[in-house]
Amino acid sequence: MKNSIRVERAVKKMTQQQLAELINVSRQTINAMELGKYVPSTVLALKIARVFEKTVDDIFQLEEGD
Amino acid sequence: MENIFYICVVQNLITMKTHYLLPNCFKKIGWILLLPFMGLSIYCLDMPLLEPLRVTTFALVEDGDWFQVTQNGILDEIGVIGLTLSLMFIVFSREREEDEYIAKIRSESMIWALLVNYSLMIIGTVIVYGIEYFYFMAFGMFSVLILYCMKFNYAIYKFNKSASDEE
Repeated sequence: MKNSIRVERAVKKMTQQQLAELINVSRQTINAMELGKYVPSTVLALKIARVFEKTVDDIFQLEEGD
Repeated sequence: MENIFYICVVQNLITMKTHYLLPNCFKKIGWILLLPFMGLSIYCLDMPLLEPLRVTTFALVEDGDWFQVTQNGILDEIGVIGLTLSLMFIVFSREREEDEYIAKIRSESMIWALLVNYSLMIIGTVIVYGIEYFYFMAFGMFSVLILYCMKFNYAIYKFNKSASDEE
């Protein structure tokens, strides 16, 4: 699964810390998600989508190996 | 005072996944209690049968006799229970900042600890014999918690270090 969290963050000029505070996780979790080391839960993905005012499908995409 | 209680309950409900975890302060309590109880347990391994603190206890079974009221020195029982509780305090206490990634680290560390523990048990059963096997089994009572502690804390250390990759 790939995601465009880093791109969306740059568009909104948001730091990892700011995004982390908005969705109630730690900064390291945001970092892990951006590096593809962690797949967030559905609730967290929906929260991220809401922060960026997009749908979940816009931010997260399935890859071949999934 | 009641409001604080309700806030704590609501906070716990929000973080439903970790409702079984103790507050963070228990970690320190666990570490403080660990060394004395570990020392006591190791000391009790070599105690002669006539121990201090002989009290009357109820025994489910003792030397083939079931449901007996018997005399027993309880110093070793105190040592074992204290050691188990202090390890459980360390293992089952919340981190300061709990989130779902830490919950994932937690369950992965526990699975790793179980696998390594039982692999070591099999290897030890094959190569350890005699009275030393008793000491090995005694260590085996606590080795899961100890292994989990090592793996989880190492994973958390790496997790916290990854925070330095901010652009």
